[in-house]
Amino acid sequence: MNYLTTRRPMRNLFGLHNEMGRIFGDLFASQEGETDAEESYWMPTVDVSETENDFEIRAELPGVSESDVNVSVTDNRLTVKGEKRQETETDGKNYHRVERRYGSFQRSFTLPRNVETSNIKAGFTDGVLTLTIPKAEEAKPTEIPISINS
Amino acid sequence: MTYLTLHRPAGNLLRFYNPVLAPRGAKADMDAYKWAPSVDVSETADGFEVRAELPGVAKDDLHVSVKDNLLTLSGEKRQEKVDDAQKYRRIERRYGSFQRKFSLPREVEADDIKAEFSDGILTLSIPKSEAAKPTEIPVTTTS
Repeated sequence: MNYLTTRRPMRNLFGLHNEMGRIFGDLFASQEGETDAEESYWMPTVDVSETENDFEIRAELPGVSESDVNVSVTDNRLTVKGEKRQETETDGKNYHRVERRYGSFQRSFTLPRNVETSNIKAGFTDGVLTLTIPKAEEAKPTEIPISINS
Repeated sequence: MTYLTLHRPAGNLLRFYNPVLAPRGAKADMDAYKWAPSVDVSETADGFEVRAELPGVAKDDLHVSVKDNLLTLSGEKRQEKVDDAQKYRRIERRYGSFQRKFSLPREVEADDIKAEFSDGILTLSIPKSEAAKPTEIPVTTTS
């Protein structure tokens, strides 16, 4: 079976990921190494789920405007990146407390082979980005005739 | 001067510690909740503003109340359910009920607090009362 696999270069910072990994067994093998997210100051939290017909990724992007989010697929890698900006009207404003994280972010997912990458849909409501990735018709084994040269 | 003071039982989870906003509240409060929204608190000449990150929370599940100078933001974040056959492969998001409290300074108009929710951000605008705004005192000379 194929699963959506997450690239998680910042693994050590995310103890929760490891914990979830244990709960789900080895379904989500991590991909170490290659890091485009290391420069990111923060990463959105995501849930990944699967139904009969598709995979779904939901990422929390509160306060991010739609035009600052970019979703792309290259080969079988899906990348969500963008920027979360601090509200612009800061004139005469003093901050007493800043807990929210701002700046650019990026997360990549390795897609299973049996999905239709050209039909991925993206929706954005209440600060949650939802990506729906339809599964393809299961490739059926094909019979290969063998001819014998005598 | 007076400031919005935060009850932050989750103190050690927070990255920033600003001594101006001394923490208040009992640690026991915190243990009942699995998560708390991140907030920014700012101040202008006219009022205070609290912005809380609540992605995926339904407006009807949000509650804001003021009692005895204590502003309470509470609610519940529910997991979206699309399908009974849905299987989760990864869950990083936190769900469940949450609560955060803020001690209001005395010089605010508690009756005029406005709450607005868009793009997963709840913005509370807390106007200062006239008495709290700086007043100019004319300087006179005696002959």
